[in-house]
Amino acid sequence: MTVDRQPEEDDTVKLQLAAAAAAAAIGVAGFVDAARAPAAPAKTVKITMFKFQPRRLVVKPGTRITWVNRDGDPHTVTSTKGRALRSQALDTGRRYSVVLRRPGTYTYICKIHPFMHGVVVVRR
Amino acid sequence: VSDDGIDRRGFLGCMAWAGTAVVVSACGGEMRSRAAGAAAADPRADFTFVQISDSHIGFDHAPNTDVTGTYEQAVARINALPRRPAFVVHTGDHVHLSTPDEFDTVKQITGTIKTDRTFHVPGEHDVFVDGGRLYRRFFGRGSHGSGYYSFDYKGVHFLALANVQASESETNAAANGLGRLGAEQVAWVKRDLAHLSADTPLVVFGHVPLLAVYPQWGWATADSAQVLRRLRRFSSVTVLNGHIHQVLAKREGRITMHTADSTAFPQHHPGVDAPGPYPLPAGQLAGHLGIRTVDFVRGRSRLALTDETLG
Repeated sequence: MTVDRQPEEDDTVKLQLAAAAAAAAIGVAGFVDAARAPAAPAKTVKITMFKFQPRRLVVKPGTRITWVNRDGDPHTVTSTKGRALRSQALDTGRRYSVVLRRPGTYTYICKIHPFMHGVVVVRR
Repeated sequence: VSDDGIDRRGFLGCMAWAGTAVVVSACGGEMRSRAAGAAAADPRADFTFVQISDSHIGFDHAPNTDVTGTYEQAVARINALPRRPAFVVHTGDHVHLSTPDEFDTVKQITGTIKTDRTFHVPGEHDVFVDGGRLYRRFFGRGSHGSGYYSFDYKGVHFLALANVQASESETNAAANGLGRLGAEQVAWVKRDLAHLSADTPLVVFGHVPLLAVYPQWGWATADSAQVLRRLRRFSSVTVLNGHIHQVLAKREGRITMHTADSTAFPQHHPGVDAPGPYPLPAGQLAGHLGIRTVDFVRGRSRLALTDETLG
């Protein structure tokens, strides 16, 4: 296993492909008004000072959530139950994105520093 | 003992913070100091060895964008010691992100140390990506389990412990980031020590502090009590740890623990902000990095430690 040096993870790539497909479906004429296009909701969780900020994030299903590591130490985003959140070690400045579609409460830790706790609540 | 589990009397009785070019380690025994670059060997020493720690090869941002360079400086400092060390021990976090290139770099630089042998124990940065597979390939030959072993040198018994979480199954919320030895290693320690007489000097290496420094940050070993119990019957026990990137000492009975400086970057003092690197003005980095020389003099109950910063 190697450390992912790409800025974003596979989930994001999939999401971008899906977005491209959606954009293609919207306008055969090839022109989409960016201001009017229904943007996929997006939220960011900063990792700084060995904390997930915000620690608790409430989102609607289908929201794209991106964690960005602003610490000098690597961190992970790892589900404490199940495998919905499972980033690789994110070095400084690296990101991990995921789309959670199923409503529920997703608790996670950094597995390198398991005293770091976070939770994502997905609710309609 | 305060309610955070830290025995502050034990701390303050023998604590030495790094911060200047001269660092004195005084903990239950001999106190010596040495100005950087003006080293003098103890002529009475039966042998000398060196501890280095937390080289974090692969780390590439503030306050150190050249951890390879500072590791090389540490090696140059060892090679300039007035007495060639019998061996050198690296107490973990050799690398930052466990890539093959990082391991290769640290192995090559370590290979230029003028000494008979180097010993290693794993840090969590050495194992968290692949469960320690690469670490064991580079540095774990001949060790047991996740990387523990013992050896004897001139009448001193050395225990090298692997107390980082080496597999995903061990890494869960309940572990809370603490070091962990595991039942298999604890049982091995018991067997390893069983044949030794109580007056055998013991030196214990490990990455995460064996005595609690700051458990809230994982600066403690969850199941160390079972090993400490086995160590208590010995008259001289010196524990040498890394992980927290600063010189600090703590004593419990006849067991004395010393944590070491990193060769890469310093970390915050226990409980201050967060357990990571802190920014430093340019030019001050080397004063926060260091190596440790340990002299053993037969008949003395304690080893003499000298912490020396790189600048």
